[in-house]
Amino acid sequence: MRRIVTMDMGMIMAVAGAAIAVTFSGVGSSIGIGHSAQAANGAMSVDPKNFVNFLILSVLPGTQGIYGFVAAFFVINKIGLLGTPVALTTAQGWQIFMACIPIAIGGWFSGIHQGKVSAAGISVAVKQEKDFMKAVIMSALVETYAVLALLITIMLLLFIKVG
Amino acid sequence: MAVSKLKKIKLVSHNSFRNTMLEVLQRRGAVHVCDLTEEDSAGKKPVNAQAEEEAVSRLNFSLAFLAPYATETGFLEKLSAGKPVLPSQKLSQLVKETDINAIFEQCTRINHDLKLIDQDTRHAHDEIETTAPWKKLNCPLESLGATDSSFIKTFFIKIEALDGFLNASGGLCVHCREIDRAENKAMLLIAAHRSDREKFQETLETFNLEEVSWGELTGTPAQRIKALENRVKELDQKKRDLEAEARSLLKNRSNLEFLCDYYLNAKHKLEIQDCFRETSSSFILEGWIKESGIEALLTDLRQYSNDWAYEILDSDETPPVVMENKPMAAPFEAVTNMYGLPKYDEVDPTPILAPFFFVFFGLCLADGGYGLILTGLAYWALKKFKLPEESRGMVKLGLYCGIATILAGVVTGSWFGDLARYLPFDALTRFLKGLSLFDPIYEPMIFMALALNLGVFHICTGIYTKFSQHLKRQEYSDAFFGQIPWLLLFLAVELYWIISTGYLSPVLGGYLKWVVYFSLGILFFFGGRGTVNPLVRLGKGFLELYESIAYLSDVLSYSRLLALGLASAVIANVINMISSLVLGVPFLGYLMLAAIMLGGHTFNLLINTLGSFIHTSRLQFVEFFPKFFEGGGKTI
Repeated sequence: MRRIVTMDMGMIMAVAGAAIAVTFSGVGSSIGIGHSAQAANGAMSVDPKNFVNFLILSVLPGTQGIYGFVAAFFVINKIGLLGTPVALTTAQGWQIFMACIPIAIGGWFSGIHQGKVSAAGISVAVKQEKDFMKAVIMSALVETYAVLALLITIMLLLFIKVG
Repeated sequence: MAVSKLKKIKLVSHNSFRNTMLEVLQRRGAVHVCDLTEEDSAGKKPVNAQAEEEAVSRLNFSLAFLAPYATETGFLEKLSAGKPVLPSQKLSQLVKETDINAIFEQCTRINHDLKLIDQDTRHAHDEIETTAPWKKLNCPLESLGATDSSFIKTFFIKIEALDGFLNASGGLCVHCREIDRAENKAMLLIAAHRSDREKFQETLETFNLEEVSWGELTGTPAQRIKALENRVKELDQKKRDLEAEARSLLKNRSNLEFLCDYYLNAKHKLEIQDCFRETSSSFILEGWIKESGIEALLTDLRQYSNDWAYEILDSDETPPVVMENKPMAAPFEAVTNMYGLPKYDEVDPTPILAPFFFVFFGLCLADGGYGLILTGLAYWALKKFKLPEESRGMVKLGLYCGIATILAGVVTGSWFGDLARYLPFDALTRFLKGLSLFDPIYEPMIFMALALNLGVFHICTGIYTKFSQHLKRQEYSDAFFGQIPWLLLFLAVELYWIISTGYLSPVLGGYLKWVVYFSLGILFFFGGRGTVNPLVRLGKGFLELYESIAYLSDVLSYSRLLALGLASAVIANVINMISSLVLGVPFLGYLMLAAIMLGGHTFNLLINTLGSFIHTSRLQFVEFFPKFFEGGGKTI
């Protein structure tokens, strides 16, 4: 019984890694877009013609969720769930799990905070319409860290040896 | 293929030709009139458009008033009918015959009367509500009240307090009758003598009785309620009559709309004259006109008279921006418009972003079946409905994007997801699979590599556009020290990647190393070109190198193409799988299958089309445009 559990632990932890990658970054994006879309709706009640600017700002925090999804797909591909599952040792499973943490936690927090920056950027889009791209750039500053997190996750996933 | 060339034209004419010239200009819409009197008001004559403005506002009020009474035509009928058209002679007849003021007064009167009726009805209902509890009281209300020595009044009392009150008032000279009960209150009719006034007052307060006074009202409550109900019926009837009168005015509705347009145009014609310089018998106007449209305008004016003169001016001012693109790229102007028009001397990004938008959208949605639906809907909308100009662009864009989706669907072998797997048409399945190059779900790395490479290509196009812009403006140092190193770096990265996949020999890697060092060196040493202080210069150079993180972030952003492509494919597969499970249910199985397939794929199509459009646009606006595009051109 113990041997079976230990053998499966690898697969369990790898799948868990994929799960947290997509879950937490999705949570971060949801909360982030929630913040900015609420602000956008408030601004639209007064100034509906600028909808496209508001849309762009609102959708900016969505990147983290997409990155988490991509990372999860990398994991699924690596452990061969869509074909013949690779025989993972516990150590390898844990390695994959740990590799997913950067995008999970990084995506989570950067998504939330990028949402707050985007929400503040909505004011710029309303009051200084011509300078709205500057607000977009401000929002993208936070995204840098999600990018770095995704990069490390992908690199780790690519170079972890399995099978 | 760009921003249209505009020229400044000056027209001078005699007042006798004024109206005709204005007519021609307004009809052609060819000239963007500049305000000559902006800086100095010599020759400015005040313009009085008050009559027209009043006519427009009265018409708008009448139309807004009548709008709720109209029977709604279906959305699709309205689209296929297009906007109503009226020939100009009929319009002049309409203007002469219609009495706008009479219609306006009628609408105002009906509106006012309806408001009063509503108010009265509300009051009546309120009164009915307050009188209703006292239905069972049979004495007329005018008989209630006070005399010198006694009073008869009505009170509310809480039922719990009733017994206590009756006991307490037993000793006093009062007569209490309970009229009725409702909820937690009882209604009492109390007749009392003033001899025990204070004690009685105390008792009233102790048990929290609420007095109900009836003012000057007459009749028993039941009679009052009946009278009020009759009044409400009367008011309702009056309201119906007024509404019928409003509906009878509806037949004028389209005429009113034509008149509104007419008076608006007349108002504009008057107001634009505010921009002219005038003398007692002549006037001058200046404006921007497309170089290609000059001849047509002059020919048109010559048709009517030769009593005018024109001059094409050389102007230093920046003209407003009009975009003109070949038919292939024209629908993508909608995307550029979302961001902002290019400056007059900037390159028009539309033809550059067109192919990328096309490809990226296709990759994001990547399904042959969905593409067919999109293309079909767009084509049908363009043919069947007479759409206004603004919407035509968007629908054409949808058409092109639909075609892109079909192509991507063919390449990925996705037709409503993996529907082909469930159907018994083996030959068809094999044919479709033969056409496809890779399956994104089972080989996501290929898709990822494609997405990132396209991203690099896109970004490099942006950098190259900036490079050629610098060359055009003769800013050679910016071009060669600022843009070329990045292009070289990207080229080197691409070549390294190709080497890693084994298609090129690793020996090349040795040479590429020097290219990379060279580029980094230029960025570091020339990033701060223009600064004298060497430390600041190197600092700026270091910041320039930091830009590489931004470029890295930009390239990784293109992984969303993979994500979105996968998302639509996976959801389609899941819908197919659920439908196939449902098939097992007896009798209802096929019905449920149809429902799930229809609903699920429609939902998937809508969500993913929206997502694809948004993310593809975002890639243009956030990753591509900032490389070379400033925007902010004046609109006409």
